[in-house]
Amino acid sequence: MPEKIVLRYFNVRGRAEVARWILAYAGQDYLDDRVEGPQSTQWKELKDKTPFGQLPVLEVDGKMLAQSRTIGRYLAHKYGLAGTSKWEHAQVDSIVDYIDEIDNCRVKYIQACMKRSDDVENVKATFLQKEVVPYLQKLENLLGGGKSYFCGDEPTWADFAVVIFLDEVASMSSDALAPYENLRALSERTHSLKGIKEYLSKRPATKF
Amino acid sequence: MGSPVTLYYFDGRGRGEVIRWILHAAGQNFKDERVDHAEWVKNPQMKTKSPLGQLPYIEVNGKTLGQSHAIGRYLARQHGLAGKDAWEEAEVDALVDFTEDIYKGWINWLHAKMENDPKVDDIRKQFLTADIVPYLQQYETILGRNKSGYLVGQGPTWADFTAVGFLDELVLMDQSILTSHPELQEYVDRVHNLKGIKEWLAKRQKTEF
Repeated sequence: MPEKIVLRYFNVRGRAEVARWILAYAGQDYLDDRVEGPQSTQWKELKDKTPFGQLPVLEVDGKMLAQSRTIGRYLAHKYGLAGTSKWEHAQVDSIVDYIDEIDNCRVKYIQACMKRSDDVENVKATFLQKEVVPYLQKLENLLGGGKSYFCGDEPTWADFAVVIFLDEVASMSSDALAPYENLRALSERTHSLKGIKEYLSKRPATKF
Repeated sequence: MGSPVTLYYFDGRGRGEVIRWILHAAGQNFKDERVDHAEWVKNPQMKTKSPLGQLPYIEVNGKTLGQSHAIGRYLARQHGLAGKDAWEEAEVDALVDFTEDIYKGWINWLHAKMENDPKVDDIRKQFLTADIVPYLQQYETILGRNKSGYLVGQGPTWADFTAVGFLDELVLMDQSILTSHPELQEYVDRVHNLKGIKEWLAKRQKTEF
């Protein structure tokens, strides 16, 4: 019997998107269960059944796993997207966590948007002109020397996490990635991967 | 017992401490290199050695690795402190990330305190009387269910080290925080008494955070 996999999250890209990309690239059949918003009865009833009262949750044959990066790492190991040695696994983890750090700054902008705060343009400018810059520059340098992906010739879930983040940055400002040639090439390459390409062409359009 | 490891971090617990606990519990010799904060800020040369320009990082066989959790996981898996199979490893990871969520609240308070934010007392109160409550409950529920005395599986993992490291910070904020949580107090004592951890805590230099 093939495993039954369900990914539960709200109807946004957010913290489930990397898991969706891994499953799409792996060609794994799964249920992409998009739960109604945080104020809904559906979520209120589901909440107590999740491990930590949070989404996303991954269900594998009825067993539940919480926390987005944990889910991503578990799936990435399962489908060979976590690097090929223990040291590479660790390097991949460090890039994922590095991206998560700056993505948490981007979340401040999303929160300002959702609250329709007067400050939203300031928050956006601080993020794009200041906070994100050293991160993009560091990642651009790590891809130097003609590497196709962060670990060399083959993609890992670190590439997915980075490209998902770059997509969000590009959607905030279309020229934000202009100075970063390696990162733009990585995005293009990753978007064209089998599985990812098909997923992106049919992905539900959501604001976040 | 593995290749020689050098840990580079500031002279504080912060994001270096879980790495130190893993290495001490594993009985792995390592160099606990303390970087002077002022020096780190003013000397850009120091950052070029770090793979992501940040602290902590480790050096093993001339290669470097950044990000505290990536380091923690790498070392914990090497020393049998990360769960016994892929699913347990994932459960450990989930708990590490769960603790990280609330640890961010603690950092928020620490920043407010260091910057003399006029709202610091409100931030502290909100954190200690509201934000941490579901997290403490969750630890209690999991320990009650798991019965081994640890969060995952039959023995200690680095998820226990991150959880207890966080609870230690809470106790420093409020000495009596665990008096109404006797099971958590016992849990903290159990982890503090583990071989390697116990000796480390007895000799660890006092730092503010």
